[in-house]
Amino acid sequence: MNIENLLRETLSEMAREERPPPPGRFLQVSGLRSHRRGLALAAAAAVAVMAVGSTLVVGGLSSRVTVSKDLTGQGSVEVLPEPGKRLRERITIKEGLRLSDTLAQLAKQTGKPLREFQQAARSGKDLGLPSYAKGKLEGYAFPATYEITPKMGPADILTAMVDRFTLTADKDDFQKKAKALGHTPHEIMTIASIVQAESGSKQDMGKVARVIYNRLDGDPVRKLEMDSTLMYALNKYGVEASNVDLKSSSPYNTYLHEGLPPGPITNPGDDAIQAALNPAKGDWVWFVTTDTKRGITKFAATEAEFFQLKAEYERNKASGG
Amino acid sequence: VDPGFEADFQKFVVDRSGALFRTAYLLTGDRHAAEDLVQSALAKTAAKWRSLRDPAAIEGYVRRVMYHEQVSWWRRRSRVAEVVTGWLPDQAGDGHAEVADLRLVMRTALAQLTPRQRTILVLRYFEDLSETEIARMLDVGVGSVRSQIYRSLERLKKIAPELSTVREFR
Repeated sequence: MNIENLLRETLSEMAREERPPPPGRFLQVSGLRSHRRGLALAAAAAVAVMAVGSTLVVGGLSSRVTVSKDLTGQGSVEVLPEPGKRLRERITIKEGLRLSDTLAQLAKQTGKPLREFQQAARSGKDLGLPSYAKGKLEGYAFPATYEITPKMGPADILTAMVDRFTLTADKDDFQKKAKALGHTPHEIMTIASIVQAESGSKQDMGKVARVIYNRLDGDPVRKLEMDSTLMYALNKYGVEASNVDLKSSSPYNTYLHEGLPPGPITNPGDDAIQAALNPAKGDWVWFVTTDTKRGITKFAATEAEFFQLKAEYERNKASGG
Repeated sequence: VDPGFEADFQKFVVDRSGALFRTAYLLTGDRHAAEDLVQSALAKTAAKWRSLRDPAAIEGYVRRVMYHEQVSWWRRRSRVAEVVTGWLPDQAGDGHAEVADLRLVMRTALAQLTPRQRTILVLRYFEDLSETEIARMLDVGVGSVRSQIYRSLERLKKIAPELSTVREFR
């Protein structure tokens, strides 16, 4: 007998021994008195409802706690009803970090060597990535607060982040919605990552997403011309690309190449993914952050409007804005 | 409003909750966690009931939700309920443990796998799904499933070295 057969026998022995509860146990909570009420209660009974609107509900069937979403909107915090029974560490990964920065953050917060995270990140297929990610983790390391137990190694932590992405995507019918928008899931994640990088605030995200779609799929088709993708290629940070930068032959240089870059440039949070799936309605094809200090972004549908916004930006810059 | 929903849902639960519970128990290793898992999956399925219709599709959907929840992050944390027995049967001096003892060793070792590893083993060796079916169920590549099965078995042997000598019995 080999280990596989022993495993088979053990599992069926365990299954035989554990008597299922009476079916009524599972019907109670659904409370199917009326159809509508039944569904509402059934939905309430779902053990975890991930960040929906401004609050998230997490808990078992007997105990449920409501936690208002982190005020900064930077990642969402989940809380279990019972306090930690074992040693745990809580780490928070902000929305919109590049993978390289995410790994550095993880290493810093867990005290494990960065090299181990980098190594684990490279073996993309073992992390449970969806097939459309093409084995690359960038974009799919979902930003949130994670609780880490001492047992978890770098690969387990990264897998947990991918799992959170998959869960969010499942909840949203992500693949179906992507198809309806005429893009692959990977393209939608790439769009979400640019939305995350280019938006000054959550309110702007839907409009930024619309600008991307209007440039990609509009008539005429326009190059994206987004600094964020170019900066990613050059491994730089900043908002204004130099003339030398603009000459980069990288496929991430969206001033040079038409269409989307090959993949995500950040790891977007739920808001940016939602914006990519549900862009605002409008015919804007430009946006300008007119006031960088206060993070005010304005949108333009015509070239004339665009030049006005640019002038506003220059004025603000000149006045020390 | 679908008047048939209530009756259909009840019938499904009466017919299938036992089998679903047994799988959930193997996935979680804990009775209460298993009940929660089934409950949660049923709730999510109820919300999608009308788009599923076909009974086979319904069971498939419930199971899919169960597997995903089990490997997903938040549930991993609720695993505090899972208690490792901490008991390993005495090893006879000559190393000839009884098969019944080895099953207990196996149980203890299983409890130390990650939920993902454990789920994949349950799907392969209890549900008898093929690697391709598991890959489809969990939305991962076949190669990943294959390597995870291999690594999980290796991990079991590492946790309980006596399992690698199993071949010598019988």
